[in-house]
Amino acid sequence: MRRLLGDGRVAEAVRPIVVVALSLLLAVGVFGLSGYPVAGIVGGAVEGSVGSAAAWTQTLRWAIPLLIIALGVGITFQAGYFNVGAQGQMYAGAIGALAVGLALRDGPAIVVVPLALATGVALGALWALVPGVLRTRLGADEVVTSLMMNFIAVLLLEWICVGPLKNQDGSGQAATTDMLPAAFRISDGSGVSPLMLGICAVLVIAAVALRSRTRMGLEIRIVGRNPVMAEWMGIRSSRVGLLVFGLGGATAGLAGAVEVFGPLGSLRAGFSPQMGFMAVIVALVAALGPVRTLVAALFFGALRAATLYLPVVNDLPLAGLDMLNGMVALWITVSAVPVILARRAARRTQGAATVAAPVEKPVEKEAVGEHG
Amino acid sequence: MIPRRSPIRPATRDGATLTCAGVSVDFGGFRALSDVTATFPAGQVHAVVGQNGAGKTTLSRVMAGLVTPAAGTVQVGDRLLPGGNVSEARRNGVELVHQHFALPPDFTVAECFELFNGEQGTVGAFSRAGLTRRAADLLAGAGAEVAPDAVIGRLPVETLQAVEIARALASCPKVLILDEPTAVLPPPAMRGLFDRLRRLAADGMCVIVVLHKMREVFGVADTACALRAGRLVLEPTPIGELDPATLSRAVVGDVTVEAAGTTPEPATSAPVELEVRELGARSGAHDASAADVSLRIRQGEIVGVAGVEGNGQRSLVEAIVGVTGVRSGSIAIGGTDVSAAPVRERRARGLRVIPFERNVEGVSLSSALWENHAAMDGGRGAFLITPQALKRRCQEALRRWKVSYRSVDQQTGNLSGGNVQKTILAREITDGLRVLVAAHPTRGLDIAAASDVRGALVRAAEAGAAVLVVSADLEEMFEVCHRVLVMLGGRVVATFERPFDAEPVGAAMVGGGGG
Amino acid sequence: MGDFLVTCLQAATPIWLAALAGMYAQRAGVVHLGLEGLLVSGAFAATATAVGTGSIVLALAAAVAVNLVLSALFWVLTTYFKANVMIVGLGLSLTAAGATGYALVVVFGSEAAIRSPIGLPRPFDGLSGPLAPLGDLSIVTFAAVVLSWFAWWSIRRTRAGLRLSACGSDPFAAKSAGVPVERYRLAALLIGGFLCALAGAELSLAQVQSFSDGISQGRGYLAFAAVLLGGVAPVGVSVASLFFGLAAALGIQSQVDFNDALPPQFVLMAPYVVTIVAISVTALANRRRGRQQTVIMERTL
Repeated sequence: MRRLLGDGRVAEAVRPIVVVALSLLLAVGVFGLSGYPVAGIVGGAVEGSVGSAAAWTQTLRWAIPLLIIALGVGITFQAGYFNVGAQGQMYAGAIGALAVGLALRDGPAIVVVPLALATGVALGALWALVPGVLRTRLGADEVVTSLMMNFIAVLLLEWICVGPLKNQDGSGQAATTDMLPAAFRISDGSGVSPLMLGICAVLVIAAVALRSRTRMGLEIRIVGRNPVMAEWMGIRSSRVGLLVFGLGGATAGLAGAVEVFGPLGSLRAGFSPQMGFMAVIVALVAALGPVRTLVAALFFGALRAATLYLPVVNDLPLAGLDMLNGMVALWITVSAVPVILARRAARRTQGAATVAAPVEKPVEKEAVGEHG
Repeated sequence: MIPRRSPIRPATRDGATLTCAGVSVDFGGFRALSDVTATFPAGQVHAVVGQNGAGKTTLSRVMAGLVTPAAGTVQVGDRLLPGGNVSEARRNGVELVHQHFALPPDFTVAECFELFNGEQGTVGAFSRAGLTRRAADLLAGAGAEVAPDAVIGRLPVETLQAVEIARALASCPKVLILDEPTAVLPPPAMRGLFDRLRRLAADGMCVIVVLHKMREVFGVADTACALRAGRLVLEPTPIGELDPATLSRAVVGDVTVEAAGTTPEPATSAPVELEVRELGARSGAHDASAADVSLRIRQGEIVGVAGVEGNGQRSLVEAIVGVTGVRSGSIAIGGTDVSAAPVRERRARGLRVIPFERNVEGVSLSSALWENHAAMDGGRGAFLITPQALKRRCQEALRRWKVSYRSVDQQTGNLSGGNVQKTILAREITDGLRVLVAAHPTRGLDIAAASDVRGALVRAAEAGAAVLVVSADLEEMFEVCHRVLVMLGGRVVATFERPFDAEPVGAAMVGGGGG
Repeated sequence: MGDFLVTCLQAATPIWLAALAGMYAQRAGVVHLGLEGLLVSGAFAATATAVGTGSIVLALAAAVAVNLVLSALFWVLTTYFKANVMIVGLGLSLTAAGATGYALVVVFGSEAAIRSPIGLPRPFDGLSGPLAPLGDLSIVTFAAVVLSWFAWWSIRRTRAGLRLSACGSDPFAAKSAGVPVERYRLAALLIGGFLCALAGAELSLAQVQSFSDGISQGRGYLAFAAVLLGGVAPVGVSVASLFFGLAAALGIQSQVDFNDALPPQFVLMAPYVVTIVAISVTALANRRRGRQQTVIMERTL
């Protein structure tokens, strides 16, 4: 994961901020050029994300699922696996949780809700373990398989919404499922509640602990950076791989379950279509660190809240947000600048008798090629 | 044996003199070559010798235009080559045969020939039949017995070399450079290769061959030059004016190696710590399968495994470590059979490893020093860790091993090769050590670091560990080992006891009889 | 039957061309997750230009121009700025989806769709008899047939194709042969941009003659799957794309034929499931054959 960050610590801290800021500037520039009042947009964005209690609620409402998914994505990426199936895992979790909730709709909330959330977690993990097992046992490329699992989940959700769990007395416009009983909901329509914030807090703490206080966290990092060395050390990378796929899927599944038991209450075909990819971007901007993921999720949650608010005041299309996210993804892994910084740093420390090992320098890899 | 008329390019039988003038190469902050000046006349075989890391491969790549020199020039005949331009180098008749070959694994032999021929920038449409015919001609001309439609990835190593040489000869080069061509060859094939090179030189070609064994140099070359730590320490000198001792001194340097053979003999009653019985194992395409390998190492004993690289040493080591499965036979550590045990369990029983390639199997270069140090827990690690404690432990260990570093949080890749190797020793040679497997423990290290590492092996044995050393460096093994086994073609073909004599060991390594 | 085959071809065409684009990229050593974005940008540029100028030639030219620029950007970011190929690809897809959705509103003031007054020409329109269904096929479908032959020829029968393949198979070998690897990668990406422009135009100007937000529905990712499913070989990739077209046509057909017996969603899942199975089987076969996995010194994601 080193190249995501470059080598310099300062660069590591500054880069995501620079990338996001430049993308924001670019986006606002585009908005301005296409005739929207820039001042109005910026003002509206601030107002819609942090300008009032309601705005803060909106920000949190979007930050919560992003945070939950991005924590898991970050762990998977740390181990060097490029699982891009968070969207499908989220859908799987949402479907599972909803099915349990609706099947036991007369049961006591104290039993049904935890059971439903657990089902969501389990289904999300299972959904992720398909590419996980295929990757670690057979060596099948996880990018393709996890993408395919996304499509399967989208279709499964569509079928659920028009088939078995279809809301019969709905208006018939969009395909949706039955509503969960009000007693089961863990938040109202605003999508924020102390319970949900508590879940997030627990997850962040757990992710921090996993990363810096457990041997597993250390092993995940080593597998991600050098799987061959990990094997020689006695770390079973395939087992670590299964674990991170499972964890990534579990968090995405939990996010889906929380969405349906929180703000949504029922499922609609193709809800929150970009959530999975957005979570990938959040994890990358946060350089895969849990605490930074919290900050990044809040920021992107605020952006989402702002862009939902802006159309109301300025008629700005929602797609602007996707454009902005995409631009962040385009630049976020750019590493030429840190390479230059690192080279300068190396030159400075050269007197200190720490001559760089030849193999590690990307410059040399370039020059000598794969066999060098 | 070379085709008089290549179907692809008109034959030019004349060779050309290759001249390097003041060539220097920098990799990042690392100076791989400095100010190398040498002339290699046409019509001769020139040997370039040096230890691993001396810059031989880099020099051959500079001559072939694959590496851009920071300073200096390469000249073929009277043409000055632009630095770092492969096409120009090849157009001027310089061809390089790579040690690990530059043949795309999913290409057929015929496609490889076509890839390397023809002008850049042309579309170059061809027919399948024509492709196969041309390849068949070239292969026959070069005496290589392989089907033109064979897929590269499924060919054995010797065949690959034949293909690569045929590929290089296809363009009728004036200068042919071979980078360690003998590393992958069994002895009879080596003889054939040398005859071939001599004939090419006799035809007028300039042949430059990178070698690192004295025997080979004196077997094939007209001149020899030596590189040490990136400097040309011996200019190309006619072989008649050299003797093996002089050349060895040039390669190794004038440093007198520390007094040898100080390790006390272990008691014959000491218990056997590592026992390998009739082992069969296969690591991968680049190494022979270990077959029927048996060895016993007692506490306090150091046993060496000598052999030309690729003769099953890697298969043996990987099977002992547990990263490659045991096909037949058994492995026991401290009397317990571990043939089926995972790496972690073997390590918990006291197995420690200094792997072949420290930057691949030994450390993660992009991880912090303390993370690499903590990567091995010997199987007794708890689920929870305290980074501060691990960092302290790492600090103490690195200080004990005199590693020069700034902070345990720094990236391991910023250390020099010798220091990286010492961090591995610091991690592996710990209290629980019972069996130490050291593969090429001093490869690429400078004299001082190498001697430190050898001292560490001896001390580990003195402390009661069983030590297995795999190395290509006979002097090193004679210095530290009690016994030396020789592997050839995956089998142990000879065993030698102290006092050692280089002649029979060397002979056994190349299949010339055993002791 | 004829109608059904035509539906297959129509459904397959955009995937087919995009998959050929992905194949060129992958052969050159670039994992192309930006196909989805290039499909969308091509479709939008073609439709917008068709609406603005009423010329189908200009529409195609605009789509090609936009995609060449985006492909060059992809190359610059991954080559000069050393950005992660897969993330840039995903970023390209996201940006294109967002930017076209945005432009749809800003330029055309409609969130739903823009309709084009013209469509792609149909060379066999007006045929009668058993060949009549061919009349529904746009010129791009016929171009796809020719281009897939061209892809086969260029990869399998030219030295340039061998050099391109070497860049992906063994960049070091390519460099040793004197191949300018990065330039070949740029060429592969530009060819890909061109092919995706045609694919995008087919998407928006063939049958529906309109561009709507989310028009591609993940066909670009499906094309990426077809690249791997087809073993990164011209013929295999074409067969895989046609298979995806068949599955899509079956999905449409099943809605008509047996609405209740088998939900169309499950028919539509088939290509994804088959892809997963096929990729796993291939991986297993490679592992059995003991093919050496390239040693990754340190992962660079």
